[in-house]
Amino acid sequence: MNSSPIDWPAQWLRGPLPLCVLRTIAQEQPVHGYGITQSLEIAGLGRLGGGTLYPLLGRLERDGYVDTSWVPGDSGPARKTYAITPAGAAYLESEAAAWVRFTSTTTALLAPREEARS
Amino acid sequence: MSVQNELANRAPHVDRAWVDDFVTELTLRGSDGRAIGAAVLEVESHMADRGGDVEEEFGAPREYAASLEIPDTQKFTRSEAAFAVAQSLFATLGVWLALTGIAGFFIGSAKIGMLTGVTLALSIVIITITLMRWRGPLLRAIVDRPIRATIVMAMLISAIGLLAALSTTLLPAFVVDTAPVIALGIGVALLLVWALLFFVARNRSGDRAALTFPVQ
Repeated sequence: MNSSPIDWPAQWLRGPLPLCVLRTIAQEQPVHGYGITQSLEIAGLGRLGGGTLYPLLGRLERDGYVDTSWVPGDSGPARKTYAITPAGAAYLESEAAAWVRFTSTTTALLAPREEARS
Repeated sequence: MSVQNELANRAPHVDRAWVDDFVTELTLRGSDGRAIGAAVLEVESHMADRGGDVEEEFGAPREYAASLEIPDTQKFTRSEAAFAVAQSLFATLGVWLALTGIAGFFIGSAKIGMLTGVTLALSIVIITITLMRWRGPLLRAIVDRPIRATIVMAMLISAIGLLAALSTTLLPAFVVDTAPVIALGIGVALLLVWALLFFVARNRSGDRAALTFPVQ
């Protein structure tokens, strides 16, 4: 399903993907599903299939983190657009901060150590 | 406009077989018609932008439908279940008594086997409750294996008919002999009650499964 030149392992993406999607929505709202996949691809996360994105968006909507509305298309089909809610923004900030701390820890652990080389 | 044509008009960028399977799966899962319409339209708008193969982008329709986790809104409430059981009872016993009455005109009197009635009533209650409780898996079995499902249903109906007939034949003491017009009258009255319950239930719940799209 994923033909991106950057093929991050699926298990790596599973953790931060909801936060990346929420951040994209927060920055580009109101944004539709395909727009989110494009932004994530440009950011280097790889090509996200609809089969991964829309179930995730559905969960974010059910959790009250995003609001949705349907916009009639000018020439094409209608689009469902997403915007972040105050609850979604609060969740994003706290979870993103925790994720950054986590990645700092793992980066420090994974980085080659000077003393090991000498 | 039929559902098939409506889907073809609304989702021209999505493979016809894929969208048919997708809608069938969501329907089997008891999804609301509005939620199904919204899910189809979202796939359509995505594929209109992305292009290419829908299965490559969204995966198999059955798995994608499951992953959406749309709530089952077709579940029966307690009062709806009671209504459905009552409807089944009135319809079955109404048809049986009306047929007994009609047959009675030819043989001189209507022989109403009480044990036949009890057997039919019990069978229909069990079948109705089973259908309500395991609607999804049963409908999926019918869709996946229609021939096998038809054979099983025919065998089940035959078994109930045989049991109902045997119960009266083996225990004739429980047979009430009455005028055909009385049996026919009671049967028609029961069918009228069934029709009344049917319209009340329909007006109360509406057609939640009807496919509707968020933007007309």
